[in-house]
Amino acid sequence: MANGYGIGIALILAIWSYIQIIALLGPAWLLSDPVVSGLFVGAVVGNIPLGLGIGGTLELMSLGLWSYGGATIPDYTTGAIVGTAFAALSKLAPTEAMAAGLAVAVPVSLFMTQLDVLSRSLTTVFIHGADRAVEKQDDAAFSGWHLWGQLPWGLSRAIPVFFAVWLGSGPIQVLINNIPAWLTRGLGTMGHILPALGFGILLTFLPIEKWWSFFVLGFVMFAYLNVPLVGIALAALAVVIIYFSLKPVQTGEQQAEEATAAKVEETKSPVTHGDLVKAMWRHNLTLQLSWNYERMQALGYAWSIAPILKKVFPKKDEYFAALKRHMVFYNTHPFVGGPVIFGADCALEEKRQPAVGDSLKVSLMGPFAAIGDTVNGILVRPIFAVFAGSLALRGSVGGAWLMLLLGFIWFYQEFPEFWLGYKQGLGLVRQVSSGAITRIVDIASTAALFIMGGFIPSILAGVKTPLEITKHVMIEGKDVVQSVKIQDTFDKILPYMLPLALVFCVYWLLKKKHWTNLQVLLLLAAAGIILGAFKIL
Amino acid sequence: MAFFLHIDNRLIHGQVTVTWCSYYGAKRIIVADDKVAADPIQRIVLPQAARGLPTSVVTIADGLKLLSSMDPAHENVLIIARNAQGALALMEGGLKPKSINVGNQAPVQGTKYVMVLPWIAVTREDAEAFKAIGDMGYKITPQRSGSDRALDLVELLRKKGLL
Repeated sequence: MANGYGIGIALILAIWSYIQIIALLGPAWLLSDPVVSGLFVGAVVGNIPLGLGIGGTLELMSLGLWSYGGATIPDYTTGAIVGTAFAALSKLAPTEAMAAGLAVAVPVSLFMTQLDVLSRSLTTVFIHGADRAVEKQDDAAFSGWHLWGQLPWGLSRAIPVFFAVWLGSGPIQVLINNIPAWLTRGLGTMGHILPALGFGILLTFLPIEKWWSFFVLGFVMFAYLNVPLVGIALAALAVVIIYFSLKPVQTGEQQAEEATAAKVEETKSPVTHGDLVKAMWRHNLTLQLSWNYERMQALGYAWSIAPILKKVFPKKDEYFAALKRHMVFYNTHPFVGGPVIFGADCALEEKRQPAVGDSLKVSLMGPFAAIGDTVNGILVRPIFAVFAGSLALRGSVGGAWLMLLLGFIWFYQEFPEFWLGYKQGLGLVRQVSSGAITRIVDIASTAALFIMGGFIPSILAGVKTPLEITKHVMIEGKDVVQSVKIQDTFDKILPYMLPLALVFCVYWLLKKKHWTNLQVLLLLAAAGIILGAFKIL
Repeated sequence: MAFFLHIDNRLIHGQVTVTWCSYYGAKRIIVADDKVAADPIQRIVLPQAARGLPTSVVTIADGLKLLSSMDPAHENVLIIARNAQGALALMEGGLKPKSINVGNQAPVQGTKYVMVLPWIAVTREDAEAFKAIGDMGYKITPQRSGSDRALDLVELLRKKGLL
């Protein structure tokens, strides 16, 4: 047990593990990004570059991965926490320690998916508890069930991290310090090629078959014109916006006029500004705390809108009946679009049009999730993550700050989103039917394609072959040995040929062969270790 | 090229647009459900969720008419039913999909349901409808995305004692 961590460090890392997932579920602060958690753990165990290196690689592997509709994805955050903690104890050189840390982090991330499923199922108990509280008309218990819904989430991360770091770090050291040289080399190569998985997954979500030309533009700017990544991102935005402003738009406005023409009786509203602010904060800070498989964000939504309902329905029976009405399945993007729907529904409840409000919720949650998943999951987050990951791999803490900043931006803009929804009310339907969503999604996905064209070769530039062909040639009667680097030949045909081939191979396996992400991950890990060990890559 | 039947109470949603449309290579979406087609807001808003794919929101009868004018040999079409009964009505109306999947079935308040999987609630009536589809020789999978295991839903229903 020598060389392990004390109970204190284990406890600090466990508390961080608890906080990071709650911060993501609640206000969507991105402490949970691998690069941020890697930095924190690196600072705690006294090896920041290691934490950034492991976190940065995992950050790049998670491009395009987002829990769409509550699907479980590998928990690279916990992987980064445990991997960094374990590798920091080793006596290995920095690059070798990073490879060893990744070798720990990847299996940990995969194992944690089981616990993610468990926490998403256990929270179901809390929504049933809340159902009973509504039946018994017990407001305090109802709030409690929502707020304590965070327990399965936080503990499912904190407990395994605590025991892994406390009990596991010592024994694993023996293994880490005795990794043979060939395996260390193999693991290093694995680290280089794993980001291809993130890019491959991202491409399957993008309309590359239709708009491959945007991808080529990005690639040409990076590979032939050597434009820096920020320049490519700006050019992408400009080109894409010009393209879509030239394209005619189809609208369905007339129909929308009819649907939204429902008469509204002007009545003196019992809802104060303070009630709205309270509801808004509840929504923006806690919506997903009690997220569960059965009804997803329903409990958080009901708890958030409760202050409005209380004023609109002063009679106890009516209030709880209204609360019950909101305890039905609900799920949309928590910070892009979600606050707009919530704001609009608050306005409709205030105007005593619950039926219209319910219909609005049901019909808008899908479209808004589609925008949110595209704008955040496919465009904004991957762009930030690529910059963050590449900064971190160069040892700069700027990468971690960048992801934190993104989280705060998303959180901050939820407030104007809410007021926009509140002012629009049912008028939102007209906005949506103007084709705005399709345009936003088109702009986001084509810009993402353009940018990825430049980012892929940049991030995977380390995928190269050291192979050489030696041949004997006779020069002026003497036997001379000439060596030709295969990489040079590749570069003459097409720069960054190997990185492109790798990413499109991943894309092809996922999209055309319908391999699962896990299968591709295992293939890449095995291929990396073998090709690295034999010095082929 | 083929028709694919997807059963999901959320209709067009992030999982559908981001993963399933790309998984099937769908070029067109048809949401066929009588209740949804009768709601003017849903009829207008749902097509906006489809990331630019042509989308129709129609009753089951109109959906079948629309489908009979299409050739599955030339178009990949994703047909979305809201629940088991809607799916069965489509199948009885002559729909011949290449595959049938259930993405999500949220419990409906006031009904007696069993959570067959954490994201799929089934009542006895639903179970009968799923079984009737199964009896037509189809395997119904309960996947949220292509990464989930392709289990056999009817078999699961039997294990849970719903059939």
